[in-house]
Amino acid sequence: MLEILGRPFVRDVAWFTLWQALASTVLTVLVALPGAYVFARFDFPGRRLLNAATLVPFVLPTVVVAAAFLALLGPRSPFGLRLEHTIWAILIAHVFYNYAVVLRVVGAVWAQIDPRTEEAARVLGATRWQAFREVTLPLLRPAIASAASIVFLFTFTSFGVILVLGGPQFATLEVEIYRQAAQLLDLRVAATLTLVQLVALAGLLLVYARYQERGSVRSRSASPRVVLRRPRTTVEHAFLIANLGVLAVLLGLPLAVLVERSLAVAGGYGLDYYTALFNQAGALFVPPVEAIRNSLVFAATSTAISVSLGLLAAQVIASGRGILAKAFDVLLTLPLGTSAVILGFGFLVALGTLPVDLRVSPLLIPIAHALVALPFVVRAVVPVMRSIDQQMHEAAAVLGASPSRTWRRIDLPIIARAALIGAGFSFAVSLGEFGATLFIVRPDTPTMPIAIFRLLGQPGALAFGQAMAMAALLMIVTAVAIVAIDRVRVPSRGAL
Amino acid sequence: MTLKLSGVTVQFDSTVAVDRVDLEVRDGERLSVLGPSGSGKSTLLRAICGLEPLAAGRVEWDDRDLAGVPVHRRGFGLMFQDYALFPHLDVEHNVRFGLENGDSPRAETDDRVSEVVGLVGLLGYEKRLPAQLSGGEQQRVALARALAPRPRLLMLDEPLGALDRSLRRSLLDELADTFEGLGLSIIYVTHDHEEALAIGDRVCVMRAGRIEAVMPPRDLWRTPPTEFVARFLGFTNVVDAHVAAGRVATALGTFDLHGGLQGNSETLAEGRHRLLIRPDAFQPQPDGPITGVVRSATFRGDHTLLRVAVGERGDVETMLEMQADWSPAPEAGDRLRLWIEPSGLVLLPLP
Repeated sequence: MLEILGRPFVRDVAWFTLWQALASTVLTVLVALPGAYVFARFDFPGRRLLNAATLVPFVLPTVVVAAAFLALLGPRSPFGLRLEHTIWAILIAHVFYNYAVVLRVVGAVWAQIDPRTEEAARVLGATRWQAFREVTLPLLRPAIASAASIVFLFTFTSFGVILVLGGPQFATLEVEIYRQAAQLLDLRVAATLTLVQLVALAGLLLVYARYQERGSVRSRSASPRVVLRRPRTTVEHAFLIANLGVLAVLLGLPLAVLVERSLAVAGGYGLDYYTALFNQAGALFVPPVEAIRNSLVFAATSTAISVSLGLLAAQVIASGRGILAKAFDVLLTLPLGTSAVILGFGFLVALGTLPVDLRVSPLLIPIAHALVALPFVVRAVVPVMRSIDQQMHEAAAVLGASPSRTWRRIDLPIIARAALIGAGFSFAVSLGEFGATLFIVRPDTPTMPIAIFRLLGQPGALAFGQAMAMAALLMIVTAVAIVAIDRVRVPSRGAL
Repeated sequence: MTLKLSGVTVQFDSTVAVDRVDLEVRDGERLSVLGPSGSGKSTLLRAICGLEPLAAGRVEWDDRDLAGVPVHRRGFGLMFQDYALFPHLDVEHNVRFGLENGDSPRAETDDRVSEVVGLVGLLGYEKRLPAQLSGGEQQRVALARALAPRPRLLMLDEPLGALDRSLRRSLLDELADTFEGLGLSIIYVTHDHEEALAIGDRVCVMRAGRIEAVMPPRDLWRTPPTEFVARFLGFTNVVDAHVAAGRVATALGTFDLHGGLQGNSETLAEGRHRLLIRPDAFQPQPDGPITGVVRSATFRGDHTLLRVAVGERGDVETMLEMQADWSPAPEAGDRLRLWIEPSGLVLLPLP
C-alpha cells in the first residue's frame, strides 16, 4: 500500500483534487457573495421567484449539469466556445453548482444582521468599505466559513462533472478510484485511493462540524428582523442589475442551451432527438426510453426503502437523548459527506462476500440509492419530530383530545408531511444518482444519468442530441419533484 | 360550578413551585393571578388542568376531587402563553379541534366555529395557517380555540405577554369586554398589575409559590395588605413606623392613628410596623411639616412625578416619589414644604 501511495500519479491526483476544490470554493464565494447581499437586502420584482430558482442548479443531477456545460462550452457550443477538457469548464460548472449554497447560507445570516449596525459605523465616520470590512464581514465570517466548507466538500468529491467535462487529463480522487476499479480493474490501487479519500473527508467533516457549532451560536444572538428595501441610488441599481445579470448568465444560460441543443436538429428545430429516444442507440443495449422507465421504477423503490428506514431512524434520533441517538445521528449524515463513488466501490467489493449474491438482484440499485437518500429523509423528519413540543400535546389534551386522537391529529399529519418531503428528496436523489450507480449498474438496465453519460461518450450528432434530450427530460422531472417538495413544506411556527 | 383548591403543592425535584395553595373560584368569577416570574402562577394553572402532578393537596370541581380525571376529560380551557397553535392546521381547524371530541353534529360545530371566530374578530382568516398571522392575530386564534368547546373554566397564561405594549393596551380592553359578555369563570395569569386589576373580580397575588393576598382590585390598590404587594403594584414610599398611644411615629413626622389612615386590626395595634405613603398623598403647604429638595421632576401628563429627598438635618435622606398635580409644577432643585393627607397612608405589617 505504501508503495502505491508513493507513486507520483497518486500525488498528482491528490494535489489536483485539493487545488481544484480550493479554486472552486474561492471562486464560488467571490461570485456568490454580492448575490447574497442583493437577496438579503434588496426588494425587487421577482425576488421570491428568483430566489427559488437559484436552488434549481443545486438539486440538478451532476450528469445534467455536466451535459449542460458540455452543450454550452463543448464542441457543439452554439457560441463556438471550446472550453471542454479545460480546468475552466470544471471551475465554472462548480460555481454553477454551488452558487446557491453560498447564497442561502450567507444570505440567511446577512438578512438577519441589522442594517443599522453598518449605519452606526458610517455615522461614526467609517467609509462604506470600512463599515463592511469591520462590522458586517466579521459577523458574516462564520456563515462564509460554513458555506465555504460545504462547497469545498462538494467540489472535493466532485465526480460526474470532472468525468464528463475534464476529459482524460483531469482526475480527482473520485474519478481515479472509478478508473482504477472499473476500467483498469486494479482494485488495490482503487482501495488505497479510497482510504486516502476517506481520511481527507473525515478531516473535512470535523472542520465543518466545528464551524457549524460556532455559526449557530452567532445566529441565535442576531435579531430576527429582516429588512428589505428597494434600491435607491444609481450605484445600487447598477449593483443589483449586474448581479442579476451574473445570475442569468451563470445559472440560466447553461440550462437554456441544454434545452436549445436538444431541440436543434439539422436545418432548424424539432423533436427528432426526443423521438429518437425510442430507437436503439449504439452505446446502450436498450432503447434510451427504457432508461426512463428504469429510473422511475428504481426511484420509487428506493424512496419506499429510504422513507421507511428513515422514519425508524428519525424516531430513534428524535426521541433518544443518549449516546446511541447521537452516534446514530452522526452515522446517518456520513453518506452525505462521503462520496457516491466510494459507496459504489464498497458495494462492488463487499457484496461479493455476502451469502446471498445481491449483485445480480434488481434491488441492488434501489438499495444503494436509498442509502444515499437516507440522510435527506432523516434530516427532513427529525427537526419536525422534535418541533412537536410537549406544549402542543398539552394544548390538544386541554382541548379534550385523548392521547390517541392527539397522535392521529397532531403528530401523524405533521410527520407525514415531513416524510413526504423526505420522499420527494429521496426520489430526486435516486433519479440523479450517478457515481454509485456507475459501479453497480447492469448494462441492460441503465438509469437516465447512466444513459446520458454513455450517449455523451458516443461520437455523432444523434447520440449527442439524444443525450441532450434525455438530460432535458431528467432536468424537468427533477425540477417537478423539487417544486412538489416546496409546495408540501409546512411553514414553521413563527416564521413569516 | 366552583373550583376549589386545598393545600395544592407542586414540586420539581427539590424546589417547591406551588406551596400549599388554597383558593376558590366561584361560578362566573374572574380571578386574576398576579406575581413576578417564577412565583408559580403558570404552574398553578398547569396543576389545575392536570398537566402537573400534585405533590399534595386537592383540586376539586363542585366538591368532586379531580385527582383521577385525565387532562382531556376535565373540560377546562387553557390558553398557553405562546399560544401553542397547531402549525399544520389553519385557523378554522385550530378552532374546530376542541369541538370534534364529542359527537355533536357537523352543522352545530360549523356554527360554533364561525361564532367564536367572529367573536375574536377573525372572520375571513379561516383558511390562514398560524405562520401567516401576526402575533396579535395568533393570540386571537388561541383565544377562539380555547373558547370554542365552551369550557366550564377558562384559564389564560399571560395571554398578552408576547405582544408589544400598544397592542397589549387595545387587546386588554377587548378581552375585558369579551369576558364581560360571556359570564364564564376565568383565571387570568399575568405579571402586569394593570392587566390583573382590569380583568379580575378578585386579584390573587403570588409570591414564591404561596398566595400573598386575594382581594378585589379596588381594595388591593387602596390598601395593599403587605409591603411585597405594595411594591409589586408600583408603590415605592415605604418607611418604618411605630404605633403607640394613638400616634404613628415615623422619620417624616407623627400622624394621628385615627385621622383617616388605613390599616387592619394587626397593623393598627401598638408596635413596630411599616407605613406606605401613596405618591398622591403629598400636598404643598407654606408651613408644612415636611421639607425636601426636588432631585428630579418628570412630566407625566396629568401630573409631574417628583423624586424628592427628604431629611431633617440632611444626614438621613429618604427618597420619596410624589405625584404633583399642583401648579406651578416643581422643578429639579426646588425646595418644598409639604404635608401628607392621612387618607394616603397605609400601615403594613413588618415583612
